[in-house]
Amino acid sequence: MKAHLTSFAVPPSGGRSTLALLTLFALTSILPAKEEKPSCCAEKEAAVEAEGSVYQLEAKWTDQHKKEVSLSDYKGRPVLLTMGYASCQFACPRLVADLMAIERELTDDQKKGLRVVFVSIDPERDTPEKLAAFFDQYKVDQSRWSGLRGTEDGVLELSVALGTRYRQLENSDFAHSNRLTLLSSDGVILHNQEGLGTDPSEMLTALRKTLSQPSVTKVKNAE
Amino acid sequence: MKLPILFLLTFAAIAAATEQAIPADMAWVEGGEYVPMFGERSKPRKVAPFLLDRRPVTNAEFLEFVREHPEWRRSNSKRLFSDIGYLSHWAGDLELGENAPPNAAVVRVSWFAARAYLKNIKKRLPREDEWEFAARADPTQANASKDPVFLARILKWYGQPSPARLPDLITLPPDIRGVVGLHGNVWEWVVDFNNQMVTGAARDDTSLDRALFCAGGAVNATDAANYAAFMRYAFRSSLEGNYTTTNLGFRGARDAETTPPTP
Repeated sequence: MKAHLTSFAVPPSGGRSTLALLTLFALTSILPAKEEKPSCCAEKEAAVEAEGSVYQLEAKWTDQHKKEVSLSDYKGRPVLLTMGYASCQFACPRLVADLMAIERELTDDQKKGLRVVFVSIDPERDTPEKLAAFFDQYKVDQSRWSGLRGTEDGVLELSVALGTRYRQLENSDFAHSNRLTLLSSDGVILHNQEGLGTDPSEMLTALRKTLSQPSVTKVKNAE
Repeated sequence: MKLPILFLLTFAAIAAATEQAIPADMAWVEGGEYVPMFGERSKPRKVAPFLLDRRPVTNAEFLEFVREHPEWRRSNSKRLFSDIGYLSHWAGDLELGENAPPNAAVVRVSWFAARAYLKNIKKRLPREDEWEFAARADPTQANASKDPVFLARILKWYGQPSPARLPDLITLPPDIRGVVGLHGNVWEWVVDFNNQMVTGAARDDTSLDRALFCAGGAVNATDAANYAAFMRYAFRSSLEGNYTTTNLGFRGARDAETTPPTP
């Protein structure tokens, strides 16, 4: 019985990254013939083409400044994203602390090139005011940090795309994954950091690498 | 003379409204309280009345969808939304072939693909609670969840490998609501499959989540006999939204806005 379950309960999970690598490998060997685009950008576009981008999700969100946004509005800069909720007593403050710890390791220029997005899994209670107050507590730079409130369906869709799991408990708290996701400037998932208080060195390596790469897409609403 | 006509018209209008509310391809599921099987979920949960497709979506139906929506064709799929196995049993982008009989359930579809298909016809995936509530039915009872014969039949199916060629849905026995294939055909997506924490990443890393991943979990099951349900929860918790497998399909559901239909 157990063997039967395992035999189909574990679909191929390595598919995503392996395919991307293969695609990139195949393309880089063909590309020198084409001169129109620098190879960095063509590679990145190929990756977006094969991998799919979180920015293809069409849900609408409201940020803590009460501005309506789509995730694709963050196009052009890498994004560090996590899902949680503001009235969370335990994990979410630590998730924010982890985000801040990553930021502290960056230079001012690197910080400017990054956006941090906290998506609420509790759209019923997490109003823009509440998300702003939540950020105030931690004195984060709210010109670069966004707290997003969406619809139930939009939250679910994003959580599935990111591989984040959550469930509302009887006492109206939520159980949820503690996962920080790094998105490329095109919304492709580059790295996930699991757990609370995890050593961020791998995340920082991925982050510094993508921050050093020129962006394919233009920054929207460039300041 | 006018009065009976008016009466008839009113009657016809009501009949039409009822017919509209319950499409022929869907069954009314009355809803109510049910007790899932373990952990904090041992408390009764309320399920509102809803409509459920009488059968899973077929290969032929899904082919029509990808014909109209090229972005969901196999060769256009993005890894974030469908893994590499997506529709891989079809002969081509727009060709079913011998491993995908037109009237068999479509499998190797991701959560995102299933959701896109249903959105297009103004349906949605059933919630886990809805699916589990409906799946307690057998041909004679709406709730057979305590019936050893019913459970034994399901477990027997879970113990068998699924056939390379899935059966025509017409050959499957209907349950008391006229719904086929909830058991004994393929596993099915639910919209909130990701409500179970998998690793120690949960905010409350309690035994209820860990329970899924060791046999000991079955001991805590509300209804120890209902090991079958335990397996479904465990299976769902192993999924990601882009996964596709050889025996995972889906069917549609809708909120029910009306009172029960008159038979």
